[in-house]
Amino acid sequence: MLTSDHRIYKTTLKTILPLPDPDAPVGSPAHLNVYPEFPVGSTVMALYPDTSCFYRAEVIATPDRVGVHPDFLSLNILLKLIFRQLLPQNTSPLTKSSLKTTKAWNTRYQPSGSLNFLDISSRIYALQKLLSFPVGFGLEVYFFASNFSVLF
Amino acid sequence: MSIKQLQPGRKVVFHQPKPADGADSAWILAVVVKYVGPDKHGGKYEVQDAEPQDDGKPGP
Repeated sequence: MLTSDHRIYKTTLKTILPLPDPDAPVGSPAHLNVYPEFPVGSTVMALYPDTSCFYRAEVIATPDRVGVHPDFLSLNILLKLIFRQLLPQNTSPLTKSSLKTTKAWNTRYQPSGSLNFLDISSRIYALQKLLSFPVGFGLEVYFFASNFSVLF
Repeated sequence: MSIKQLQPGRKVVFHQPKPADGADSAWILAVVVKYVGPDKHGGKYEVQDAEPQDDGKPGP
């Protein structure tokens, strides 16, 4: 349980996408194996490293390819290539100015410190959506989590 | 994988309600607090923002 400083919302599954739990036991609905891998071109949601905010993105490489492609050996390139941020016309980019209205940039949206492979393995998640985005939020959604630490 | 009832403590992505000033809402990291009950969308839940409020005030 988080403290009372953390805002509580009452909501439904229309606006919730469950994340996998790296510590979940085999057989648990939260286990990583339950989540399918997304093919290239899938629309997903990715978590900004070291933040608690997600952005819409497109998968442009699968974990298998990442493991052998020399370009992906650079951490900075990795972050850019796995998920390419999508900015459709009807969706404003997640910019500092637009996000300041809901949360302070420095606390939620500004990555802090340098990243390492452990950060990547524990913090990058992506969620695929099957229905229209961002207007519709379907009940039948699929999820994906990449543990990139096994790729290097 | 269809969604089954989520247990307390499960991390989720939550789409925040649109702010009153018309700004874009964000998808944030949240934690399931409890299952409230069924509804036509598959269930009502209380979720808690993973980040504390900037002003120190708790949620509604």
